[in-house]
Amino acid sequence: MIRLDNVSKTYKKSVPALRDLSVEITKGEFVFLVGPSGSGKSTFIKLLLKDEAPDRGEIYVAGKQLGRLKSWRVPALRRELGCVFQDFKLLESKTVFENVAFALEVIGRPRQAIERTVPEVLQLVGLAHKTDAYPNELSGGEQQRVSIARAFVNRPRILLCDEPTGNLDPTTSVGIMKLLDRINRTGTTVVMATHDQHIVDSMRRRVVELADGAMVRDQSRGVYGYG
Amino acid sequence: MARWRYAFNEVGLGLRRNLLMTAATIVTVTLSLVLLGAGLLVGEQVDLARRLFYAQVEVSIYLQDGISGAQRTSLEQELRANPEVEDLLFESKQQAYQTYQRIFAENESMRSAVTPEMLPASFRVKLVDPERFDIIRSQYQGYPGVDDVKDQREVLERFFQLMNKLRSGAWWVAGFQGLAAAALVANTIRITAFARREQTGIMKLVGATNWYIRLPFVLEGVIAGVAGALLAGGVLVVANATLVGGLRREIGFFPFIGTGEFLAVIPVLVLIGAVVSAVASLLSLQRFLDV
Repeated sequence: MIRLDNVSKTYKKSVPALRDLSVEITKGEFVFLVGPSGSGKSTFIKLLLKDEAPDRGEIYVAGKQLGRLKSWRVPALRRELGCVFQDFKLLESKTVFENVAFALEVIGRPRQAIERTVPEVLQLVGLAHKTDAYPNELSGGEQQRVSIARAFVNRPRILLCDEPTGNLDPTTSVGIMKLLDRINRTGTTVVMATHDQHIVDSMRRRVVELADGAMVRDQSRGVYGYG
Repeated sequence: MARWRYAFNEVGLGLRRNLLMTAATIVTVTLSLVLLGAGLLVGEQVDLARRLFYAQVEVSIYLQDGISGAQRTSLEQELRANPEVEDLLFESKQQAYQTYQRIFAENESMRSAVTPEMLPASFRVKLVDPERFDIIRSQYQGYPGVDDVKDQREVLERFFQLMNKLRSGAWWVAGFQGLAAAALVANTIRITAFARREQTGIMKLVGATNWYIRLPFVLEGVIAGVAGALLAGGVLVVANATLVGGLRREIGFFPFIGTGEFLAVIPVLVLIGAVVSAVASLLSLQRFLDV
């Protein structure tokens, strides 16, 4: 589903963000990407989205070789990927329903399909009763659920999460992880960058650890770290 | 709570700033298109006047006041025999006075300033080929009883050249104004794109196509361009009603372009306004909304 072959990436005039990284993630896996700030986790996610291009190496996502992907095909790639971020990225002027529906509207889905699928996904994330609320009326955990609903409403094959629990308290984070676990069980591949040790330790899933842009550990059913 | 207030303040500020920018953009577009339209219309005016005048303009052979009857008769016979001459008309002092009175029918002071004695009698000569005026002049300049030989086109040509200079002047200014207008459109679009960067960021993430993301911005630019063009059209129509309308009444003998020509320029201005602002918007977005 995702494969990186000897990928390196250096931003202008700075230390390498990724160094000769090779990793393969198969369909339906749940992978934690761990490491301190600046270890290359966010770059990893940006490369998968073709938001950035690697200096060297080749990346395959959902059957597409990104280096050969024409720029006008990038939207098609992104429709197969869902994205969740630490800061939710919700539109304040839109209700919960409208925020989720927005993701379908802008890729031209018909109104009827939107009316049908949005309530389904809001049900899945447990926000069926908040359909008409605005983001500023919701708690952080609820906002992240809206964000996950938006990422998942188009049934992507891969869900990319960049520190999804970074702004949330531990109890709320557990709820979000249960939701991501449920989405993973539907067959969706989940890649989650985090430095929340407690979560990684309790989930016991595959852990890929980065340090200064290089992979230092790839362990199935891993924990956050040895220390 | 403070976070939300800040966000709302920012949006309000952006809107107000953008409103001013949009107004400035529209005004600049209007100015540049008014000048462009005026240039186009002056061009049409020159073409029209040239067409109509050249059909009737003749060479005038002015006669000395003391010319004798015999001199006049011999001159007339010679002119009629000249193969360069197509048609010939004698205009006496009295006839010249009547023509003059007709031309300045609405201008009392001009009419009362002359008497028939002040105007010269003349032969009005229509040439087979108006370009061969020099031959006629060399033949009749200094002829007994002839005061002067004048090509009426010369006077008009000077007038037309002045008009053409005015037209190119208008076009130069219109060009620079157009550049300023395009820069303002680009800047307005950039501000809007910046204000909506969250929204466009999400659109990119969920896989909206480039065109889908860009269309609203380009439309905003095009709307400003078309609004400016319509305003420019309005200005030209008002100018037609007041300025040119007044000239038409004042100077009856001169052919002026009509309301039809003015209205015909408007679609041209709208097209130019729309295309230029669309291109400016796209160029401005090129850097902002790259994939």
